[in-house]
Amino acid sequence: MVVQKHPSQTEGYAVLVNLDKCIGCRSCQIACKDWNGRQAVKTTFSPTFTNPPDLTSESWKVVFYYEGTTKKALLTPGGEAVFEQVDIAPLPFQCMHCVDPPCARACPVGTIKITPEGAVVINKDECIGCGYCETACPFRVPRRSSVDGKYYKCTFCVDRIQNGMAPACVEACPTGVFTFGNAKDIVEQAKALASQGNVVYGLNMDSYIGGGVRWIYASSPRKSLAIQQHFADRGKPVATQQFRELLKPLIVYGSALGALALGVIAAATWRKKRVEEKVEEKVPEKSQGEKTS
Amino acid sequence: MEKNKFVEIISNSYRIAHTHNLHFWSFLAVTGGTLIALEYLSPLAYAVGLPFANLLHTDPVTAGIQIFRILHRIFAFAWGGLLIIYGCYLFCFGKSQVLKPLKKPLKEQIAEAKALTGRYLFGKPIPKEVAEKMDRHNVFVAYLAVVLGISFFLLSVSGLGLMFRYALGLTNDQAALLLFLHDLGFGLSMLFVLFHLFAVFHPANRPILDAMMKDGKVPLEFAKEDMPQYLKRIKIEE
Repeated sequence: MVVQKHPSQTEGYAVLVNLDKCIGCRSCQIACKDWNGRQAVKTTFSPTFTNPPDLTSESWKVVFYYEGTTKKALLTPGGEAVFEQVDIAPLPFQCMHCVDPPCARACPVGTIKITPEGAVVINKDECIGCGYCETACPFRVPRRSSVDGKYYKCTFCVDRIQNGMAPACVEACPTGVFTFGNAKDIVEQAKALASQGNVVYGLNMDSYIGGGVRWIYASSPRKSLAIQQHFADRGKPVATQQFRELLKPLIVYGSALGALALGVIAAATWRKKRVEEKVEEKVPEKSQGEKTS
Repeated sequence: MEKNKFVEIISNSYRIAHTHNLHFWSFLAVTGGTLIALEYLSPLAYAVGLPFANLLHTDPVTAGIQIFRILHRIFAFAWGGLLIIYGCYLFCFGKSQVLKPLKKPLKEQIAEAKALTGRYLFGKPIPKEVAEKMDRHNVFVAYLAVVLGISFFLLSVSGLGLMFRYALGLTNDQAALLLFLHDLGFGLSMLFVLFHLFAVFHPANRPILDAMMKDGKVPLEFAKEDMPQYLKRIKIEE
């Protein structure tokens, strides 16, 4: 739990993810692996399109697919016919790069840094593999590598951003799902989309993550099933971590203050006892002196 | 002569176990405390990690922390072993007396606690009716032992769980809970240590401190005042 200064939500960079444009091609997933030199993983069959089924230490960005029913309208000569249809909605997911990342607060050795660009980055060389970041993350993002026991996650391609480029996934997207830019502009765009009745995820969030994230998701209500299903159990504060954050000052400063207070009391009592002992020593001397005279 | 008479209040096994508990707790507190508050303890991690940093291909602080983590686990196992063996011995031979004051009626416990608070904070003598019912351990010791027992339980269960987190297939939420319980256990043990040290270094308990650090014996006069009920059960040496 090392205290770090970090940019606010309107400072640095951010990405707006417009899910209405996403066709689930996984170009972003491949571009992420390619740029970051992550190992390819053999495809396994599972009941979902999502592959691998979740983020891993080798897959920092994964496209999730959600199934649900959406309402569709068909214009017919007899008028508009509205009907429900089973739909699949893809959602590219990676580290959300929280404004005040709990993983960085939980990291006991300060391995997780927040760059001026707003990227939350694990310094591999300093990671001790304790897993505190994993337990503190409300999005379940950092993943342990079974090879070296260290934790890995998306870096926001901070190396590219610092060299004037957009993140690899942003650049690779063929349909322009991602809008990368200054955080202030992106937040304003997201607010504008929300005011138009779109579903927006990533603004006005809990203070546990600093009130917001740098990857802001937006979609029309029709395709919002992906946002609703994906973030149904993600993004909520981790109560145990919140208690830990309260407990730390109690243990560190409470113990120091307690020791000081008890030390003062003990010293006062010791002094009182010494005074009493001296008085007792003087009394017999006095009575002995009276006898001899 | 009454002054030359001594009473054994601490057995050899108790003193040995206590000494090792002291060492183990201190070592585990330092190695674990570094993970809780590295901002204050990083110089220690640096000093330990410096000679190994090159070997581990990392910076001295990270190397120090890694070494602390490994030692924390090894020593935790060693301490657990000691506690289990000593606990079994106490239980099997009916040696444990520390919880005896809890058997007293609540009214008597409150009266004893008030009297002891007066003595520890203001140096007041203990009223006769309370003093004559006092045993080897007072009511504060009994309750602090309960706190310590809870903290041991939390620390050991959560520590084992965290150590074998992946082997046991624990979820993130379960691991987070264990982490919190480990911190809570440490906080409780810290509370115990604070009050224990206060009592230990209090002038009123000086003979007990001497007994723990020397031969386990206190002067008969002291025992008559502080633990008359205990005196009824044991032999007095000259």
